[in-house]
Amino acid sequence: MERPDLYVVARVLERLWREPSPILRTRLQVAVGTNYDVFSRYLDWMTERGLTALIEEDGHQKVVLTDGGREAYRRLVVWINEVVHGRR
Amino acid sequence: MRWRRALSSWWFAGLISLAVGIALLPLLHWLMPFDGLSDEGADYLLFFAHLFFLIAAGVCLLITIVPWHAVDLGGRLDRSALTKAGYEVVERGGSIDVRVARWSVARIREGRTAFRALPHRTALLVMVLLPAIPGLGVGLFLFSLYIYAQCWEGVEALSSKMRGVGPAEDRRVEELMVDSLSSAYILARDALDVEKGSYQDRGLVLVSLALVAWVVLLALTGPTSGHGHALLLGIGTLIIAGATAGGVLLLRRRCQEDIAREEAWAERILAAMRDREGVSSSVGLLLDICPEVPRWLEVRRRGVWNRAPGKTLLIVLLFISGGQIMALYGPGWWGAYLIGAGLIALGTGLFLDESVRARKEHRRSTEDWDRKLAELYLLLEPGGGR
Repeated sequence: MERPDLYVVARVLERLWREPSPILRTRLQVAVGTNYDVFSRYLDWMTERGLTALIEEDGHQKVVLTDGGREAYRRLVVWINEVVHGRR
Repeated sequence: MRWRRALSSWWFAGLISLAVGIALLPLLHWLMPFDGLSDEGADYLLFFAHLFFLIAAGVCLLITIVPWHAVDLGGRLDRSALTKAGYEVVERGGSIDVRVARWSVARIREGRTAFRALPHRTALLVMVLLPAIPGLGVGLFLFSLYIYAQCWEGVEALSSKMRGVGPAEDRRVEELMVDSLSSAYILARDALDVEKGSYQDRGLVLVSLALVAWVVLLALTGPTSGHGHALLLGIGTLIIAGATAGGVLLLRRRCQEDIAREEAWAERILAAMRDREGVSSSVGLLLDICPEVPRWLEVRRRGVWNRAPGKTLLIVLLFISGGQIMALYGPGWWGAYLIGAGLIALGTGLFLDESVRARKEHRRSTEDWDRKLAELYLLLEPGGGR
């Protein structure tokens, strides 16, 4: 994936940010609102970059936001805030 | 300082008053002819001048107090906090009145996202007395401008006092999201106000031109041109009315699309602000909003009329003066044509300079946006932006 759609990445980060505990892969996919193939590609891309991590829990694969992901989300929100305020 | 914002609309109020005044003067002259400046004639002129200022003051007063202005008060205002901060507060149903300056009250709407600039009751007394004193009618015009500007300054001071200031990085992410949504809402509302204002201003210019055309027609078919011109006057009036109505309809069709788009954005953001805990993605919406920001900033800056009201007024005055000098003194002295043409050329130069500057600013903001987007992708890379 050369240049991912920022909108999808941001939605994944936001959803995971809001979740206090690891979330089921399928639940995350529904929350983000993309088809499974696209979602899988994005999740792989984000996991490769250390933004998300996959863990096995109760026999299910779940997704969790890493510290790097939390930092990326925080930076994204700060960036948006600065753009909206016309400071960037 | 919001004098610029007020003056951009006040200029059109002045134009309309002038157009109404121009239309009234020959009408009075036609209905009640008098020779030279007799006592009776002087009375008519005084009456006309007074009427002109009253119309101007009335229109400006309406422009001052009727519109709602978007503002970011963060939804955290309450009566006790305001009272503790030393403000005089009155609750009125879904809104609160906050005295933000000696003569000005801000009526802040529920949701704390918009306010109206109103005169305080002490100011109302002055506003009633001013036009009653002959010659001081124009004072009402200036006083309402003062109240308006004071209200804006007061609301801005109130906003920073209630919101607190600090670097964006230090605030919590959730607060930043709410702040971003509020700011985006202000931008969208501002863009909506500009689009609506632009539509109204163009409509007013169209109506003013129609009035001027009608006055010219009236002068050409008036009593000094002899009788039997009633039919010509009627046909001319019908043509002018038809052309004006057609122009207004065309204008409406052209502007409604822009107004509807900005209105949809403002409503979408407001809905997201009210539904922060819901299923909708705030960050998704904000990312949708980001590409709109340069356009909203451009809408804010757009238009010679709203960008620099002082310069606009100067350009119009140069055109009017140039035309008047040529028309009045040209037939008797050739130099008047030169002076008039010089003034018109100067006005044209200023207008072109403003247009070129606006185009350059737009190009720069587009390039800025591409750079910002590249920065954002960099941020998502591991260790990016640190």
